[in-house]
Amino acid sequence: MHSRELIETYQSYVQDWRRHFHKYPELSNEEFETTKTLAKELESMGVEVQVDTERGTGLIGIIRGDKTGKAIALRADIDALPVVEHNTFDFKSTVEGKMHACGHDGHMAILLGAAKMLMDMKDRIEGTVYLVFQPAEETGGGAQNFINFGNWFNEIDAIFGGHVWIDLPAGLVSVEEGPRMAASSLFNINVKGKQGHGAQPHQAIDAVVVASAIVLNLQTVVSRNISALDSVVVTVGNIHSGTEWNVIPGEATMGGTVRFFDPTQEEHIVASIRRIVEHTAAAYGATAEFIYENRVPPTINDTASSALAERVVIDTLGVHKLSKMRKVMPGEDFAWYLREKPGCFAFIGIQNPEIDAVYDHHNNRFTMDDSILSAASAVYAEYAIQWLLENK
Amino acid sequence: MDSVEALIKERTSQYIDQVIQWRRHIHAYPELSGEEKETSLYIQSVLTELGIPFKNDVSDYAVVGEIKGAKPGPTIAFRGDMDALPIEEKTALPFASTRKGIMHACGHDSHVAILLGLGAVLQSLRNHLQGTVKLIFQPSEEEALHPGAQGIVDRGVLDDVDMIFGLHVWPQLPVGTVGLKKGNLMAASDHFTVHIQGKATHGAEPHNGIDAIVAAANWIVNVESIIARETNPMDNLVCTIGVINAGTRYNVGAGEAVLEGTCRTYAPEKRDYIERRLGESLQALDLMFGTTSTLDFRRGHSATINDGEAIDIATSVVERYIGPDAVVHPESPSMAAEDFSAYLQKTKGAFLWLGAGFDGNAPLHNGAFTIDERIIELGLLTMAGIAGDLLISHDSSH
Repeated sequence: MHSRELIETYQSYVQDWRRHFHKYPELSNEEFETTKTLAKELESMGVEVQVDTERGTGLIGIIRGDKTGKAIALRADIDALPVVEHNTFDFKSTVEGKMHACGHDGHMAILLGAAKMLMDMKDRIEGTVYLVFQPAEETGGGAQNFINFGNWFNEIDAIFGGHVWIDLPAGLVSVEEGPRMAASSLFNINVKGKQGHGAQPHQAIDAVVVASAIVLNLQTVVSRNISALDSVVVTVGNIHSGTEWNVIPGEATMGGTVRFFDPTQEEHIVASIRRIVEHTAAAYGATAEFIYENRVPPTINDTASSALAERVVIDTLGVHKLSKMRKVMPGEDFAWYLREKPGCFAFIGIQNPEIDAVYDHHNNRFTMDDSILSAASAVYAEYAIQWLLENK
Repeated sequence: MDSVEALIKERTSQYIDQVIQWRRHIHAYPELSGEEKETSLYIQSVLTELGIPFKNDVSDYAVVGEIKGAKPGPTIAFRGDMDALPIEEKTALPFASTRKGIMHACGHDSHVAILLGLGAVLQSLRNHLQGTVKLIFQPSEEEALHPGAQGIVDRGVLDDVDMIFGLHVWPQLPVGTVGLKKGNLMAASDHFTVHIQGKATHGAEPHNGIDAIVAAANWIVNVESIIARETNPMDNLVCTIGVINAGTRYNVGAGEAVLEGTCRTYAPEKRDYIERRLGESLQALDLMFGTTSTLDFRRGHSATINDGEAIDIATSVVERYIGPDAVVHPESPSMAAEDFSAYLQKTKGAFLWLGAGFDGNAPLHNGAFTIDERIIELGLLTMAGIAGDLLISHDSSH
C-alpha cells in the first residue's frame, strides 16, 4: 500500500483533529492537556509513547517497522499564541485570549494522520519512525529543550517537518533546498542619558531623542551595510521611555529582532548594529548598552533531503502539487534540529479565499483549508518510509 | 527698641530647626498632584498647633491660613505648592521618600516648610501686624491639567489680596542667593499627546506593515529641527517629548506609538506657532510613512510675569536681611512653567528664585535632586521680611 491511497481514508480524521486542537489552544510550555490528548490518541493506535513527564508538555511516539533499519523523526510543534480569536466558526477557540493562530493545530493533526498511515503500512517501514510533538516553538527554546528530552535525538539519523503556509494555495507543497526560514535574534538596547526638567533641555541628556536617533540610524544597517542581494531585517519592536510629559527621561529601552539567512553574516550584522547604537548614543553624550541573543539559526534544507522530498511529493500527490516558493523571514526552531541532522522542512499550502483562509499567520482571523491536511500526512509518512529505504 | 528686622531674624532663628523638621517630614511622605491628602492634613495640624485659623474647603486639598493683624491694613498673600512627582528617589537621605516611585524632586517640600515657618513667625508677631496675611498652600502645581492655582483664584481667595509672593528653590542659582527678576520669569506650558497609527506586522515582514516606531523616531528628530532651524534664536521656545511608548513584543513591528510632551513659550504668537507646526509636521509624517497621526494639544499655564514694584520690595528685603551679595538679577527667564502665573494675572506680585545650586547637585525633576537645608532659612527670612516691610510699621515694633 502507498500513502497516496490513504489520503482520502484519513481526510476527515485529520480534519477533525485539527478542529479539536483549534478549540483547545494552550500557550508555550503550558501544553499539558494537548500532550495528554496526543498521548491517548497515539496509544489507542498502538504507538509506543514517551511523555516528557518532567515538564508535562511534549511527547515522542515511536513506530517500529516490520524490518529493522535506521531512524527518522517527523516533527510537529504544539503550542498556540496569546491572541484573541476573531473567527466565528463553531470550532473557534474556547479559551479567551488564546488561539492557534499559527497553524500548529494543523501540524499536530497532520502528524496524527501520518501515524495512522504508518501503522497501516508497517510492512513497508525498514527502521524506526519517531513522531516528535514539540512544545514551545513560538517563544523559542522549545526545540533546544526537546533535543535533551530522552534519547530520541541521538537515535535519529534524519528529520522531516513542515509548516502550513497561508501564502501558498491549499494543497501545494514546497520543499526546496537551501535557506527556507530566517535566523531570528532578539536584542535589547538600554539608553542612558540624564534625566531633567522638561523645560531645561540643556541640563539634561534626552534619552527620547537619543533613542529616536538610534532607531533612524539603525535603518542604515539594511540599506547601507548589507548587500542588496542578501535578505536581512532589523526591526525595533518596542520602545519605552519616560513617565511624565514634563520630565526629560534619562533612560530609554528598546527591544527588537534581527533576521538573516546566511549564518556567516551574523557577526557583521551584529557589529554594525552595535557600532550604530554605541556611537549614536556617544554623539549625544549618552551611553547605550546593546544586548544580543540569537534565538534560532536559519532553517536550511540539505540538497539530498530536498531532492527526496520532491520525489515524494510528486509520487504521492502528483507533479502539479509541487510548488516553488521563495524563502520566508519568520524564524523556526526546527533549525536547531537541522544544524545537527540532515533533513527537510516543507511548506504546506493552506490558502483558500473561498473559506476566508487568507489572513496572515498570527492574525486573529487566521485559518486554513484543513481538507488538504491528510495529503500532507501522506507526504510525511511516505518521506519517512522512502528515506529509510534509501538509507539502509 | 527692637527693629522689625531684628524681631523677624530672632523669631526665624527660634523656629528654623522646627521648619527643617517639617520639610523632612513632607519630603518623606510625598504625594502626587491632586492626591495631596496627607500633606494637607499635616499642614492643617501644624497650623492648628500654631493657632492659625485656616480654610480647607477652598478647592481640592488646598489649605488657606489667615493671620489677621492687630490693626487694619493691606492683605498680602504668600503661596507654597504641595505636590510631588512620579519620580523614583535616588538620594540616600535618611528622610528619603518612603513612597516608591514618588518624590519631592521639585522642592515643593521646602516651599511648604517655608510657608509654615512664615506662619509661625508672623503668628508670633501678629500684635505688630497692620493688615492680613494669607498663607496659600496650593495643591497640583505640577499637573497643568488640574486646576491648582486657577482653582484657588476661581474661588475668590485673591479677591481681597493686594499683593502676592511665592518662591521656588532654584539650582541654577548658587546657594546663598535669591533671584529677583522683573518681567518675564517663567514660560507658558502646554501639554500635548500624539498618536501615530501605523500597521502592526510580523517583525520579520516589515513590508507588510507600517512601522510606528520608525515614524515616531522620525517625527521626534524632525521636532528638534523646528526648534533649531525655524525658530529665531532670540525667541525662547522649548519642545520636549517626555514619554514614548510603542510596541509590546521584540518580534512584532509596532502598529501604534503614543507620545506625550510639553511646549514652553513666552510670546503668545510663538505658542500658536509651535502648536501649528507640530500639527503640520505630523501631516507631513503621515504623507511620508502612510501613518495616521493625531495631535491633542492642551494649553496649560500662562507665562509668569513679575511686577516691577513687587520685585523692588523683595530686592530691598534680601539686601537687608541676607546681604547685598545675595541679590541676583537674572538676565534670562526660565523655560520652566509655574501656575503662579494664575495669581499674577489676578493681582500684582512676584515669584522669587531661591538659590539651590552647588557642585554636584542634580537638576529639578531628577531623582538625585536635593537641597542644602541652609537655604530654607534664607527663604523664610525673605518672605518674613517682605511681610515685615508691607505690614509692620517701624513705630509699631516696640
